[in-house]
Amino acid sequence: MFRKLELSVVLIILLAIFSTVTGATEKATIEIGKPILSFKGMTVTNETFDLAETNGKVVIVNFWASWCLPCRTELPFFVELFNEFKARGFEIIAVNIDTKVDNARQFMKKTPLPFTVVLDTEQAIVSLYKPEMMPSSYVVDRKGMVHSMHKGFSKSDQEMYRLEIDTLLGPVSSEGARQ
Amino acid sequence: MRAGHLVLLLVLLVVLVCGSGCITVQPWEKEYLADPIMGFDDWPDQAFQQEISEIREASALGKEGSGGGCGCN
Repeated sequence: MFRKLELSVVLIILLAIFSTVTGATEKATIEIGKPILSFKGMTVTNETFDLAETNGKVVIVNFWASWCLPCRTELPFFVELFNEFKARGFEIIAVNIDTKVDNARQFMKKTPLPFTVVLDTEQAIVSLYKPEMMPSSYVVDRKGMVHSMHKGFSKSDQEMYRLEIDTLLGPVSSEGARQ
Repeated sequence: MRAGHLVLLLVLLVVLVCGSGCITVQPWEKEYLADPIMGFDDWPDQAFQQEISEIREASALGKEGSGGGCGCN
């Protein structure tokens, strides 16, 4: 009787330890079809930023860091994408999660980013979104709903992004601007 | 206390100590893990280390080069 009780206690303790250790990957809080989590922050140009101000636009919320190799591959493509679609109401919000801002600035010297770069040195925004991978991007439609999530980046994703953004932006009006 | 109990207690203690030292690093927390110095090869100071090695061994290509057959390095 005593041995059984003893064994149960040991098993419960072991289970508790390993469930905390192995199940510690935090679940992403963003869901497709639900409103995007709003956040405020400071941009790299020292301006205040509020995601709510992008309402009515098709937005990519991207998380990147200078130490993340796929992020460095992805950003030049985002520059292309932004230049291609910005006139139709497209915006990219690139949230940099470097704890040392200088590293981000150094990268941006080599690769100038024409869109909004929000600094998240305290990692408060990224902790809210809990992306499963770096980089992670969230495509948001004009109503502020999450349309898709992109985890990581490879060259083959480029056409998918183009098609998705083009579809979400809708037909081009005669002035070239959005409908 | 029986010897069996003591062993069990010790094992439990070791597991507790080891288990409490483990954490899962989140994808956005890998700044320091992504540093090149954390890799096994292509260390930033590899060239410097090789130079030091060559000076100490008084030989060129002390790391990769094949020896001249003298058996001195």
